[in-house]
Amino acid sequence: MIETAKDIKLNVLPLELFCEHLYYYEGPCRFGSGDALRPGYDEIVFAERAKKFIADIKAHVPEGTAVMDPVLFRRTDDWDEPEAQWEAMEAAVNAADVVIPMAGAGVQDLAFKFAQRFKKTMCYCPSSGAFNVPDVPAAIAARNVGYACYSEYRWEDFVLRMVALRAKKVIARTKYLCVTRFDGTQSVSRPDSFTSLDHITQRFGTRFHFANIHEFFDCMSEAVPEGNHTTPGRKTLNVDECDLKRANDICDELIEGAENVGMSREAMLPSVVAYVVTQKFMDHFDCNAFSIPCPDACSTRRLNEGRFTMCLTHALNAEAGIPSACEYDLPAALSEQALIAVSGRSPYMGNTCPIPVLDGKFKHVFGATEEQLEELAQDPENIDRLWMTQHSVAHRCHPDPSAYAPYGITPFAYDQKFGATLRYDFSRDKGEYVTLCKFSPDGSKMFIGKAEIVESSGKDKENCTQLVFYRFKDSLKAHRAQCKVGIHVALVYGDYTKELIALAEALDVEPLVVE
Amino acid sequence: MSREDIRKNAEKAQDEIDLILNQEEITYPFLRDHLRRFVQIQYHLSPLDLEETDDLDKLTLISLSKALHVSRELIADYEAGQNCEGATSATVKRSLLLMKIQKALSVELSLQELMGIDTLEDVVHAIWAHLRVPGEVSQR
Repeated sequence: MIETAKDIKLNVLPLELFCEHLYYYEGPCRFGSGDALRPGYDEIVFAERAKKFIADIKAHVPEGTAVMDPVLFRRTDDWDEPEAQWEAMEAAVNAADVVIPMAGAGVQDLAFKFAQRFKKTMCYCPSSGAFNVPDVPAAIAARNVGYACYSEYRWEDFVLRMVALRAKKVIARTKYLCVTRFDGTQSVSRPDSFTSLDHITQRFGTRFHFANIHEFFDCMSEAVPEGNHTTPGRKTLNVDECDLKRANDICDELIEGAENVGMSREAMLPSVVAYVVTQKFMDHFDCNAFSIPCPDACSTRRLNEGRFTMCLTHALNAEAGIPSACEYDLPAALSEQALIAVSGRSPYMGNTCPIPVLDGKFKHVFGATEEQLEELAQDPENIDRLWMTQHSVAHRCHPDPSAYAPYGITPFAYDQKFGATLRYDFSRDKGEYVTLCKFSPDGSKMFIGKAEIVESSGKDKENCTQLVFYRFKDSLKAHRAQCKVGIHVALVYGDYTKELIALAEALDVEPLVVE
Repeated sequence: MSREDIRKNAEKAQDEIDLILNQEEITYPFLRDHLRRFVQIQYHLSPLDLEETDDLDKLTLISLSKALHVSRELIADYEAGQNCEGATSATVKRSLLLMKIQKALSVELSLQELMGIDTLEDVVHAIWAHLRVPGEVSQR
């Protein structure tokens, strides 16, 4: 099963905490008059408060959140604290990702005891109580215990917190299919990939499943009785008749929907088969992120022999909300996952760099033409601000994850015209903002950028020349920050900087925020 | 509204409770009619108010709004009933109403029953569950 980010819900558990007075009395913690001081009154007020508390949570939680049935702990002014009540809520608490407690007189210590007992992330909401509840968060923070208690006094901040905590869960539930030839940690071309996968698993919960690149490629043809060359006699995940029909159907659909197709159907099909095999492996191994090393794979000459590249696989994965990064860039894929989780949008990724003015003109960068750079230089707003992200993994869902925008198809290989790539004209979206994201190789930092699209390139070209031009307000700051995270940067349309900053806080990574 | 008016109003409300308590074979419609009448009097509502909504929170707000215009004395209790858990005047007023009904009819609703109350009809239904004789069929 491929569990995409949108399938992952944040389980929110409301925690009702109630203290009732058993007798009539007045004093520093008990006030009111008449019936309001009588036994029974507290319960009536609490019932109303608890109902509103639950209704408010349900009314405000963001998409992707499941509000569980509340759990209740009740005590009296005997200050009793029955163990049975804690035990009764254990199953619900274990199933929860975040607990939203009520606050109030006579229960302050209960929320803290709850935190110490269950070690769950907690977050007070604006309906939790009359005060804005900084006491329990302060008590927990002071102990540096590895779990957090937040308190939000505005619903917009509460929503942001829930979005971030859900994204944190998505990151934790990310399981890569890593197709490798040599090193399982880094490929030949990506020294800026994660330095230690074990460290990333420890830090975020993210997991990695490995497949051998030759065994993977062997599965792109139908099985033979004696087994594949690399695994003789074994049952393997080779494409079958059904898979090949699916590949052919996808091929036809892509051709039919394209504005222009710059390659033959025959030359396209192997790249679509690679996508179908990738899906089959991901499904079989319960993975929901993908990467494969391009140069390591390229030099096997099997891509040339099989007449395919993985560009289309990355593009179609991204369309479906599945992180999928070129060149075995595992941080780039995790950055895509972060963007998918906070935005629900389909990401793009690629080589990312500033385009400085050198000797009076924009520096030449791969994929851009001299004419285009000269034209971009005409706009003074682009000077010292222009950047680009380039790889031929653009797709049909950049502006809208639920609809296909116009696109083209061209080959990757100039000479033999194989390797299907989708091409998108980013200039359709000039003036739109994009949010950029990239984890650092050690996972300790997150590049978070906001930029404005200014131009596109490579829509009708071949090879890895697809790119989007955009501009930052502070290019040098962005460059300094990028040097801490690496060359591939992921992006989505829209401004999700606030959400990513909140995610960085939830993950305890340093946000490197640039505009 | 004078203290005397408030006292007379309380007596009228008590009359409705007495009718319920003195009814030998109480039926659901009888309970509903007199409990609604009790709330109408207690909350200083018009029959039209009760026709417009059955939502107890809305009726409480209507009543509170009227009380603010009629007599400062009428809302003093609700402000005094506010505690440091953040109960609003409306919550206090609504809670005191339910407290009064429970006390008057010698009924104790559970926390679960109290949480199930959204409308005046819910109040009648919750009280009915405690008043009715075992085996008796509701005539809702």
